[in-house]
Amino acid sequence: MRVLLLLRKVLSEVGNGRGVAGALVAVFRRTETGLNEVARATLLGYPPVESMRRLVHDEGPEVGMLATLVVNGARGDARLVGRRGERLSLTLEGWIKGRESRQMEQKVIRFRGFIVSGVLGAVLGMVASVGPLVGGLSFTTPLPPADPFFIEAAAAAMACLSSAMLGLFMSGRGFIVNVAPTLAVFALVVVAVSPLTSITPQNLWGIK
Amino acid sequence: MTWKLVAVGIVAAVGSGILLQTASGGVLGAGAPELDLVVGVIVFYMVLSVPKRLVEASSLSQSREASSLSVMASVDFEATHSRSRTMLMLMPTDSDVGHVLQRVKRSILLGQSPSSAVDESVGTLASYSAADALRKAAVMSPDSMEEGGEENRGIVNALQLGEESKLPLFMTVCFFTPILLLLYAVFSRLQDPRSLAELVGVQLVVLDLSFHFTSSERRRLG
Repeated sequence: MRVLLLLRKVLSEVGNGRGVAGALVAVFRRTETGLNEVARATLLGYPPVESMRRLVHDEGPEVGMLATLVVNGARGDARLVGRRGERLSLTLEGWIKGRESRQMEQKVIRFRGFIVSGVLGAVLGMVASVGPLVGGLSFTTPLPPADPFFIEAAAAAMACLSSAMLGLFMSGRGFIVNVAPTLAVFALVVVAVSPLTSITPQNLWGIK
Repeated sequence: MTWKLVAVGIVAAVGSGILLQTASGGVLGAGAPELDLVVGVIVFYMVLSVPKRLVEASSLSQSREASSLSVMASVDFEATHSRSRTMLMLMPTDSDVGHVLQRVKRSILLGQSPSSAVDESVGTLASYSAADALRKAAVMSPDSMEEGGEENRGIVNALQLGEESKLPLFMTVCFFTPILLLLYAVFSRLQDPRSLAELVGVQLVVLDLSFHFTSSERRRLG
């Protein structure tokens, strides 16, 4: 957004009759390292197409669009470019603001993703721990006690997979951050509920 | 072309059904054919909708380009007072618009008028505002070349709404699929590692398909 506002300032100066190179030097001279390279390159005699190469290609599509317009202004009617470009910069500012508000929403959604991953780990840990016990209950014939190890391993794999996909959906490459709370909560629940698994299932037919 | 796409879709659907059957190894018992059928239908739809998705994906960047294109066209027209030169001076950053403009420039250099050259070429553009910007540059006066990005706003709003609708859907699938599969394993008394690994494989297939369906808007919005 800051770069866009600087470019708008450049367009404003150009629209008021200042040359493109002069406006670039005046606006970018007092900016932080990186951006002041534009002013330095212009003062060294590079044309705007060279001095603004970074802004055209690396600073996002909106800034690139406006920077291209400034570059074009240097070879055409600069004053007209300045006047028309200011109006375009307002449209582009709206797009950038929309994207910034979307980024804020993404943070909230990412937090929701962590919560869902944690709850998923808890539920799967509970099912994996208590499941073999509940599955072993029988009213007719007593079933042999089930070994919970493989069920717990499968549950851990399923929890990791689901939270990884959820993380991939919500935060892209940072999906591993979603897997960590899932596994932590899963392990915690399995350890906490493990005393229950030592209960031997009774034949319910004999209970009066 | 359509029949080729349908044929590829059928092959992909049958292939994915067979692959899922092999991967799940019959662990789902009587429910396996239904799941194979559902996966096959989804894969068929995915293959068939590839062109539509490609066009939709390019419309966003093209509509973004329309705004700067109309400003540049009006500035260049003011400077040159020639529609042909204006068209030749335009340099869009979007590749699809760039290809169309290349064709227009070639036609103009071969002697065609800008308006007919643009009319012949803009049909391939997915964004009506980009096509409109080029048409106006070729026909109308520079004062009317104002593109406020309405189409872009509309596309972005539609994508955001679609994303909001699909996010809870994907969360539900991610949350309930492992729980249901694990309950199935528990009550079916599946204990051998192979059957459990097959269930994890089934979960991977279900999550992957739903991820593909629900993340298209997010991918386009970036």
